[in-house]
Amino acid sequence: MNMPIETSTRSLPRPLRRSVTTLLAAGFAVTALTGCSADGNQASGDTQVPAASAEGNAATEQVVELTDGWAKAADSNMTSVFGSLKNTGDQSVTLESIDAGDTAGVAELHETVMNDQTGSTEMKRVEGGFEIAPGETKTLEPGGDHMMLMELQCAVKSGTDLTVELGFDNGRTQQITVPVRDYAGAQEHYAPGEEHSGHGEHSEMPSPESSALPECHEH
Amino acid sequence: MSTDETPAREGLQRRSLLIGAVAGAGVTGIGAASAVGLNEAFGAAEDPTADHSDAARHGLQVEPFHGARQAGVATLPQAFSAFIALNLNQGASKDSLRRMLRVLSDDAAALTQGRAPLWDQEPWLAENPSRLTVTFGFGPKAMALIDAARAPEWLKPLPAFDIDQLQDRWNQGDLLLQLCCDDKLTLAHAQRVLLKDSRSFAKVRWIQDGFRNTVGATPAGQTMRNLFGQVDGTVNPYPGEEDHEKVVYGRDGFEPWIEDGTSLVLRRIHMNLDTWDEADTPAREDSVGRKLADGAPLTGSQEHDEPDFEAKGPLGFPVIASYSHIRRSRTDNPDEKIFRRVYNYDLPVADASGMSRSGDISGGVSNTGLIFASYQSDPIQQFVPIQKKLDDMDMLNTWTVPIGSAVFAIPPGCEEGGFIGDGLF
Ligand code: HEM
Ligand SMILES: [Cu+2]
Repeated sequence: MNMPIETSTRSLPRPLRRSVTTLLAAGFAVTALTGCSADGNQASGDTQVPAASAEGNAATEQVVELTDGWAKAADSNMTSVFGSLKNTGDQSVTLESIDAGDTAGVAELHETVMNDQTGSTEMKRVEGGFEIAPGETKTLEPGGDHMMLMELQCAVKSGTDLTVELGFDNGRTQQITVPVRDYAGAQEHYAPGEEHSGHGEHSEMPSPESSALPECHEH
Repeated sequence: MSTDETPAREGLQRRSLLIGAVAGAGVTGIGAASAVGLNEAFGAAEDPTADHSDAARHGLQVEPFHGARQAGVATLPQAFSAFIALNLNQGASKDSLRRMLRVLSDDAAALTQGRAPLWDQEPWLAENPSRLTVTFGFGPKAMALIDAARAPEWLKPLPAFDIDQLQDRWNQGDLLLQLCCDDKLTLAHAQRVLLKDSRSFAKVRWIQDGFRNTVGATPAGQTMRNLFGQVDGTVNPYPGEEDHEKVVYGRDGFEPWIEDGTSLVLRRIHMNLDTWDEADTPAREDSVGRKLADGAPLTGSQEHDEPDFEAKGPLGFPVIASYSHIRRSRTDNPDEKIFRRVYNYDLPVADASGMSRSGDISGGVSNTGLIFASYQSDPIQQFVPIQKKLDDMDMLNTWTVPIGSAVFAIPPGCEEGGFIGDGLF
């Protein structure tokens, strides 16, 4: 499924940001507006700005095209975001960083590698980001490369939408909003940094009762 | 008998589509695509133009998920069913229920159309939807969370009946997921995906697996038989028949609880096959008022002949006994009608031997019965009077015992991008 892609609108006041949505997939417009993003607004109580009123603000272009975006639900600690990022332009772009705003203390790009010593897979931070050649698609998926949110400040709940901002080499940014789902996989051990090593043990399924952190607001 | 020509059958078929046809057709093409009915899909041997290619195989048939009404009620009954009652977690709120319904609706929409959700770890098991439908129902607790003011008055346990031996483990739950599918493997997978989705919101109260004949095992359009061997489902307001709309979705005196919504009464009814074995054909037929061979009324020669309740035998007794199931379950009040869409159950038994006795709900070598799914606009006005009459007198009670009972409000369907129940939030 194609996800709505939000271009950088940092200059806008917060409630307006996520509503300025550039809809990429032809025919997706209606679904997206009544679906995930509208749904998110309901949950957070944001006022939704009709897409039309945002049209004048189309100064920023989308950098990559996101499809199949989603994130794993987590009550605490850390979680991952997945999806396919297609470079539809004619210049190579490099995804260098991600920013999860208030949701996570740390947000990084990760790869999953085999540890020669232990024989098991581990994830570690990617230096230099993911370069995506023109026409190419970078796939981020469980068991492979992914976007990692650590030091979660709030519980990322199944059935909500999560918005993160992608940072690219040329200084451009792009917001993406993805649905959050419970998922038992994506538990690779985090290799460096003792402080983040709890990932592997985080196998408890999130539930309303077990949630210690407040629920994330969808924005 | 053949019901192939009846409007009922066309009504049932109308909604069934082939995946390939849908994919290529777009919205405007659906009318044309739906002309591909079950007979064609089955590759009916007599039809030389029938499509025998793999693309026409039954596994690729889909039932729509989105629309004004939920699928799984008027849908031609699939071979297998799983009725799943969930109990919402203690901390459930309106918001968590909304999130849960969004997740379940999204995944049900995908799975019924033969698409695996992104987070499905066995996506290949979604490739043959086999007319999978997922129908949502709200129990009292779910409705109380969503909007107590809109909860229908009848959404509560049915009154107790003397014949009941209800076991609490089969009674009311908070949320119902009714999965029906022509393929058991596809069904098992869809069930797994939806239960994984539900895990952080609710726990499973019960799952009632049911079955009918598999596709192609019996002539298309033939009324099913239950495990007593009876033709079961002859007189029923099928889709396309004139009273279907009123019975299921309300009108002419029935106020539907919500436009395009209905109700499900789910009774789990034990059938004692051991004592049924002790009854010979005349006694069996007398108990129902119909012949076992073809389901014809005792006063007729064909299944769909109208029973003549006035006809008397040589000794002056009614041919169709006053205590027979069809005499008792047909009331004079035209409002007291239900739409039955039942499934058989037959659970594995272990260390089983001997015979069980009348009224027993265990023992013997079988654990068998009916998942009696009854849809109607208003259970109190429609279902309860019939059940009350059967409670007072019905020869079939000799061999049957209700052991579970639940009532669910079936909300309307949702449009693409929405979720089931969204109009109530
Ligand atoms: C294990 C339990 C039951 C068995 C084996 C059973 C079996 C049958 C059979 C063989 C028929 C005749 C064929 C037909 O028209 O479908 C029939 C008719 C019917 N049954 Fe049942 N039944 C059961 C329970 C119930 C219950 C609980 C109800 C409702 C409360 C019910 C309501 C009806 C109705 C309305 C008809 C049609 C009567 C008519 O001709 O107008 N049945 N059933
Ligand atoms: Cu990671």
